[in-house]
Amino acid sequence: MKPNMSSLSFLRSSGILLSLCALLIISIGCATKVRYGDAQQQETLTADFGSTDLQLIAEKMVNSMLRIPLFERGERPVVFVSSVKNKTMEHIDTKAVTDKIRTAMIKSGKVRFTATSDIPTEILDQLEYQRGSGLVDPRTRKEYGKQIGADYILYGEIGSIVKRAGRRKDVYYKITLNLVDIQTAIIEWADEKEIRKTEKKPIIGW
Amino acid sequence: MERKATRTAIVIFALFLLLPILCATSCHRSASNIAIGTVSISGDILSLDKKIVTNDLLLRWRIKILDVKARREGDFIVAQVVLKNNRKRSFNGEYLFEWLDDDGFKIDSPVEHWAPVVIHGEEEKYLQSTAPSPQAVTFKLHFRRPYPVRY
Repeated sequence: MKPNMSSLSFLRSSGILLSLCALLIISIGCATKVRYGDAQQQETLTADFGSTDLQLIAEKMVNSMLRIPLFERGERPVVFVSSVKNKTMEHIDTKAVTDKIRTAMIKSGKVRFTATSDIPTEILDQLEYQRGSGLVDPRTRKEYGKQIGADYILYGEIGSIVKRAGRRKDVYYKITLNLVDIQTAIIEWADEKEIRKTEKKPIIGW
Repeated sequence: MERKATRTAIVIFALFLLLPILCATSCHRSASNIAIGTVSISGDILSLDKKIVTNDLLLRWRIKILDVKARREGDFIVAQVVLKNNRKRSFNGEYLFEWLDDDGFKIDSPVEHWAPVVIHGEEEKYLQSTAPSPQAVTFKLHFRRPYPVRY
């Protein structure tokens, strides 16, 4: 039996349509998707140290530091930010933690921070340039010996305990920060933040 | 017999229709219930005007905003909101504190973020926040189901 022309053309057009659909689906599936997210949202991709942990630590420490009676005297003491020792097995940018805390504390207007912990050589280079190059107007030239000495040092450490059992992983972080009076070496304030995260890997996959 | 079978079919069909609605209302909602506190200070007396806004009714049945408090510590207001889990099962949620000044302008804080919180069965959870600046007089606690970054 010979197929008629109309059914043949229907089959042909259906085939073209299906191929186009398949092509569209493949192209949509392969396209790289980029979109902006909310930086304040929880991040739960893995149990490793992430942005939410950084924010949790900074929030807890700032909430606690703002309530230190030392900062209520209106003297706006100067703080030197030392390092936060990373005792975990992960790479953690501890400077990002202290930077966040420092920014929030500066915005509160209660404390001042010395930049000598971040850029001591840059400051010295600039002073030497102003004094020695002969290019800077003497009226605006900055003097040696006018820097303000810090009153306190902020330092701390972060540690973790990681346990694995089959597909499960439990991570416990603890960060401690201390504020030390440079004159007396007394720890005037200290606080800590604990974080627990659990991860369960799927049976199939990575 | 035929009527019973039809009724069963209708119920099953209704359940199928309800399932995605229930999922949509409980799993992927980013709307939050809000506790608002506005502090006014005259001399040593601090008064607090409280308000609770419900945007997620199902969440309100599960987690109740029990109490809203504020006090002054030095130049800063410290806010406290108590949440109560009305069920026996633990609840994973997240919260965010926002602070506004006297004119209703938001005070930008580098440490503002959605913080995860676990409230165990029948537990009362105390959430606290210190104002990021002495100008902050109004606080808003947003509480919602977890809404993490989608990958």
